[in-house]
Amino acid sequence: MNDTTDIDDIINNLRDDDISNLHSGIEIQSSLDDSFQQTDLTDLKKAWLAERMSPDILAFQTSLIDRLMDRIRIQAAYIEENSMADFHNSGDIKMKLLIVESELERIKFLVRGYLRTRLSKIDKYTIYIIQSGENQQEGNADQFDLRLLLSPQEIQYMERHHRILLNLYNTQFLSALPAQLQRLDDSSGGISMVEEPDLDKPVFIRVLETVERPIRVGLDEITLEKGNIYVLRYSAISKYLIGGEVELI
Amino acid sequence: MDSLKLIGLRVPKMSPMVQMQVPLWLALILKKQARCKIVMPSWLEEEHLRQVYERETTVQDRFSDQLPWRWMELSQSLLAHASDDLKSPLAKVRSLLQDIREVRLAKARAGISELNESHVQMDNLGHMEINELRPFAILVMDQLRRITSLTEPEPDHDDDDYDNDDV
Amino acid sequence: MYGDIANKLIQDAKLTQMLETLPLYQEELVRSIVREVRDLHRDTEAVLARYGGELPTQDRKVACWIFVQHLCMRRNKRCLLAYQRLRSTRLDAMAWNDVDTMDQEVLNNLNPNEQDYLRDYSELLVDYKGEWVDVDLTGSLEPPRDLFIDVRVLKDAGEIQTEYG
Repeated sequence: MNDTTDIDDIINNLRDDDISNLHSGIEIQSSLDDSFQQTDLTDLKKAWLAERMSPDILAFQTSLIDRLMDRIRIQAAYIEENSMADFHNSGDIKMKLLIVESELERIKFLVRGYLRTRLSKIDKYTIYIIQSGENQQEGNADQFDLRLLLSPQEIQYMERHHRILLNLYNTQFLSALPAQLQRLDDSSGGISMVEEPDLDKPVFIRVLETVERPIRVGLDEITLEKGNIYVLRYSAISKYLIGGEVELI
Repeated sequence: MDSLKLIGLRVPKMSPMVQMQVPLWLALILKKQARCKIVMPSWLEEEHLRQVYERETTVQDRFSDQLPWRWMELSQSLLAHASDDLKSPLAKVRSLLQDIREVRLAKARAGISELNESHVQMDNLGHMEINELRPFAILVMDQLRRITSLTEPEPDHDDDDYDNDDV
Repeated sequence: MYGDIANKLIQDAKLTQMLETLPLYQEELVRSIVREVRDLHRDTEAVLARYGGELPTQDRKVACWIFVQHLCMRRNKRCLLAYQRLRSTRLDAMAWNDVDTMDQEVLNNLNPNEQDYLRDYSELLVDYKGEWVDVDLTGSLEPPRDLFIDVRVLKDAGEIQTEYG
């Protein structure tokens, strides 16, 4: 269609007080596929924010990221195809390309930020993560193998980075030190050399679903009611984050 | 324009004079191309903002719940890019928003004195307002936590933390 | 005094934090610190040997001396690690910024081991980024503000993109 001017009255979905994201409630002929797409984008934003705000590393969103990457490739191909086409006869296609490209950039920004935030945590807590796996193999049941939270690519990245870093330390000075001083995960002398995430770090949360039982925060008890905004220590709510009752903001 | 499938939504077929809902970023693109009018949300009307302002000034210990979560971001973009679609005079809306912002900021500042090491409730604060508060709030709570952990160590939280000693 | 050289290294690290580019690797300082640790170790072992390799808990003066020797060694080690950690983090950042790992300008202030590391990490990064070409991991971490940013020119069809806006 050629007449693209004067489209009147595009409503924003801003009326609602509880718009947690701008995409909720968009009027579309709702096929299953469409609502699926929408949830994915909401979930991506949530995952991105949660990863940026949480002190520890969260589970990699494998299937979500897989689905989004598929869609990203499809949109990139759409841009490629249509940029080649004969567009002189249609202002419509230019408009569409602009929209597709803008959305694509927004989503790529989120995925990129998500992945890079994770990498920086992985770099920071490498030894801690690796140790958690070793402890678990040694039959320490309390210890969760944190590597299970990483994607295969992230594990590969982490192990390789650790190896070359270790090699650097060794060739620079570590191998020249007395044998008992050559370890990196040394905690003798009261000072641990292994950097661990500070799970009691204060975080901002918003309650998405009321939690019936009050939770303990230090010496107090609080009730998480839908819509509440709190700042409190991460460890008090981390399981509700995983359960989806609260989100980090 | 025909319907268009995006990653996060399917844009419906757009025809002149038909109202529809789209995400803000998309509305702003269309607006910039002069292809649409934006129907402003009702909370951006003078009357509503005046009510919010009154509520904010009369109720001291809470924030009004009559603004959306991203009220600052939304009003900022809408005023910057689509002010001609406002139902109320721009100057009025702008000055009311400014007043609301100031009174809420003052309340948030007053609330800072209530910061403690355990938790603080901040219902109805906007996302942007939280971001402004975040660095300070976290710093204060962290320090309080450290002090508290020295005076009354909790058995299940044996932090803390020697990690600031070199470089 | 023991620990003095390590302090110099830490001062250098402090300075490094404020500089945009990495200053020269402090080869000589690092070597002296390693030597100091080995001296401390040798002396401590010699004294321990006199007590049959056991910490002489009954002789508190000697026990205390040994303890301090150990603290000095560990402190030196921590300083070495902190120094190298800071530098390797900066090397990582250089790799993310896609520096040319053959460029002499870049390599000048690095010692050979660091040069190897930079190359290794750059390779690692190329591999990891390769898994995510579609989102361009080294792309901007600033949110896309301008509606018209990053419009790629695809082959010869240059006209399209500029006509967008």
